Amino acid sequence: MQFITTKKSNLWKKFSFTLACSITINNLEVGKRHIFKITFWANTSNNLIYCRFNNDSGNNYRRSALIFDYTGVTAGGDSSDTDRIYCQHGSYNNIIDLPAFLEAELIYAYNNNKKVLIQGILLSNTYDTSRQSFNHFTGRYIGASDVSSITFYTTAGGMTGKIEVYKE
Amino acid sequence: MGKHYIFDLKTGKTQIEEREDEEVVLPKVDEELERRKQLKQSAIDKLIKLGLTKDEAEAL
Repeated sequence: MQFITTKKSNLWKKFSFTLACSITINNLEVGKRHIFKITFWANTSNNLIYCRFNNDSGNNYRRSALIFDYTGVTAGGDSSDTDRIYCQHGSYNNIIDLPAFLEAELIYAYNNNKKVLIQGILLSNTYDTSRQSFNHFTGRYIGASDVSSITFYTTAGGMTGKIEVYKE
Repeated sequence: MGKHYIFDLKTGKTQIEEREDEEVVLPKVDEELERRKQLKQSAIDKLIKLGLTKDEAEAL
């Protein structure tokens, strides 16, 4: 199933990783729409996944997110600029043998490649002790230079899986 | 220490660096979730005091 649609022919590159604490995708084609599809197994519980652009840890980000799970819908976000964009609303405990799925879309601002918007979903197996959760997140970044890389971070212990990068 | 993967879209090459992990800070939203859990538990406790069983209270 695709939540963010794109043609299969737009697949640009595919990579895999093992026990990664972070994955960085360099040399984005500035100005183009990019889509990232990540399927991964988390190797520890209590995971967090967040992203940054251009390896910038400054307070140049803002985001909001929703969780849909058996308790209903919970919303969250940042009212002031922060140093990262969380791809989920809160942490989650992952069932080790089931994969999680993250899909994100990156769009550059009109006529300004220093600003980007990202939105996406994260399906994780459990959020608390026995939940299935569906996270929808969105965020924006305003940098000092053209956005040419994105990094997804996770907690220690890392993640194992693959990423597909689409471009159109 | 952890493995940090760097993928290059132009060349298709993968580089792996071993370096310290960044300290991960829980997002503020966790505080809200904790507050909701406490509120739920408080409601369950009140229902039990009213005579419901634990299962009945949790089901509501």
